[in-house]
Amino acid sequence: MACSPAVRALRAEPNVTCPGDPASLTWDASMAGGLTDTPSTAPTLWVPNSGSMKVYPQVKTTYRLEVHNWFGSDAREVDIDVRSSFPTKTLGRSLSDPSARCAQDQVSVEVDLTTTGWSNDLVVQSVRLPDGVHRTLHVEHDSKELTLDDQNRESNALTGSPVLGRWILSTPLTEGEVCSSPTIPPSLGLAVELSCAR
Amino acid sequence: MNLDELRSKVETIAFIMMENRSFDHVLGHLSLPSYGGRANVEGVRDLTNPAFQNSSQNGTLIGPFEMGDKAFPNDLPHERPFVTTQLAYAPALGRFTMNGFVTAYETFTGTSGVLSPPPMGILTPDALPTTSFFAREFMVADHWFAPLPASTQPNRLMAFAGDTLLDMTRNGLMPDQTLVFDWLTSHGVRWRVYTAGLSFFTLMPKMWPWLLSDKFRPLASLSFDAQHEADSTFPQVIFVEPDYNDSPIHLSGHGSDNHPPLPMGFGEQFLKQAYEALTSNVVRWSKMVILLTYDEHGGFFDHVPPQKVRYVPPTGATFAAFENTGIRVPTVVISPFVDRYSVSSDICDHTSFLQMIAERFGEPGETYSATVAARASSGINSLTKLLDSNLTTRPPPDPPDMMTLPPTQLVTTKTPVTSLEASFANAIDAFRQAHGAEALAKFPEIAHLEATR
Repeated sequence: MACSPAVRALRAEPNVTCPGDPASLTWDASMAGGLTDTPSTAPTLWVPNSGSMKVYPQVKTTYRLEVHNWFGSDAREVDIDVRSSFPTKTLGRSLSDPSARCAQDQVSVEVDLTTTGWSNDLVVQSVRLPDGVHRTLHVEHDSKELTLDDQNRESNALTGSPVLGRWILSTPLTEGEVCSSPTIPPSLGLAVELSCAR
Repeated sequence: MNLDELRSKVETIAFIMMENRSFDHVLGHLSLPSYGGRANVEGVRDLTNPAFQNSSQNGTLIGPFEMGDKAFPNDLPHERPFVTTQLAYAPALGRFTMNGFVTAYETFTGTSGVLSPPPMGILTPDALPTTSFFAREFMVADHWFAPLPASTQPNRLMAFAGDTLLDMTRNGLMPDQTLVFDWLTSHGVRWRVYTAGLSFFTLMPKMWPWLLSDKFRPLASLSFDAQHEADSTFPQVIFVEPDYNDSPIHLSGHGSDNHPPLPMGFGEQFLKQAYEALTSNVVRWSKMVILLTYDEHGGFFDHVPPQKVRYVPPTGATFAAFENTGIRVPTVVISPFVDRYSVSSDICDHTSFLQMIAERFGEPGETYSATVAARASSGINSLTKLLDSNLTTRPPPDPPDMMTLPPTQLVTTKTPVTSLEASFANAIDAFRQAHGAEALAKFPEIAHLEATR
């Protein structure tokens, strides 16, 4: 029986970058297809069934790989978020992550940001507790530590630090809380303002 | 409604099962302040609630966002292993965190860096004219779960059999299980299936003789039957099937079951057509209960953890037991026995329908099956519990007019990619081989499919 084509993967790495930074698009499909970008900078590019290419987006761009044959079609879309200063992003992880720990007095999780996701040109402007969060949050990153809470929701202690690297987020258990308490959030996150170093 | 009232007041039960959407994705907007902020609906009350944020592989958290109706670039993951990822059990906390939907999507699609990942999209009323009408005029069941954290075939088998020999959707024909149709037949209950395309039960060889019989009719004949057929033959239980997007053949050019990547518009038109046909006889409407639900969540985000209901596979099945239900699905009870603008938060799943079938048509005290009774003992309520016999009967309200949508993908036939698509294609071939000209005469779709090969 003839087969409909399939796109098995389309990845953009890094996918948070500064204008003009190189990013790598890699794809794997069952046949050659058409690669487009939105906003468009070029006509549809016909690419082989698998491969990679460097792109240099100047603005936030969505890439779409579409494959067609007589029997059907398939597509994947990915974004590269490109700005010189970013609206708030929330770094964080689910507490289902293997790095999550709940000890006697705190819950913690690690967020390891690597060059596969983030441009190494990105630096921290400021950090703050995400909207709706009213717990104390300890942050460790770039050999620095800080604590945020309802009285001190924002900090510049990490200004200029690279966003890349390991972030450790933890929150102390409040009085009466245990690890199984429903009041413990399902994830820990930190709102971060980013900008490009150059 | 008590069982005596059920037996005396309900004459017709209709069942419509759509495909692959979660409660929050379709009806979660009901509790958003900008869409009425219904405080009694367990929906997405605040899009910025940190508890709703999902992990993505690049280390960010992504919350739900409003989306319009559109075709998706691809299907979303919803087989058993992916549902496990989506439920995101946290050993450190001893509970499901319900924030693995983006991770599962990225893994399934081989993508990274999608800023607005489809699983987190929340549909708004303008995309859902018919469903919004139902939610306004009838009862939203906001704690209705897919029975199993798995995909289409296991959950449809639970809905139509109360048991499943499968825990995954597979490519070939489905096992010949005893279905609700057998139960109804053995109890002398009149039933019928109305289909907008090829029936899901094409996948099950034991159903083929029934498919060729008068038990299966096109949806277009439902309105006439409802208005003109004699009580002595009009069905007591009606199943209305959409045109399944996973079928390899659509004479209309598209499915209407809401299975991604389909947009919702075709399904909204199908639901309007089914509702108008079922309610076209006001006398019959006055004694009718219509259940509209979805087989499973389809990979879309929902924030309510599943219920702890153990399901041990029956003899002949080899998969590991399930320890909990699947994810909530959009469900509306459409009937004069529910109030306008009402909500039920009673814990239900698809076997709640089978409980009601046994309560209405079985001997007093008879349960549908041991498995369905066990689920009832684990806290799954009967659909009967949601009905109120004290309401004044009202005529069926008129649904809003809909623009005729242009088909987004005029593909009348296609070759299978997913397991369910392959299953449909294989079943049609086998059905055709087994029943030849009889199958072609009853289902012209099959002849069209053959002609295009």
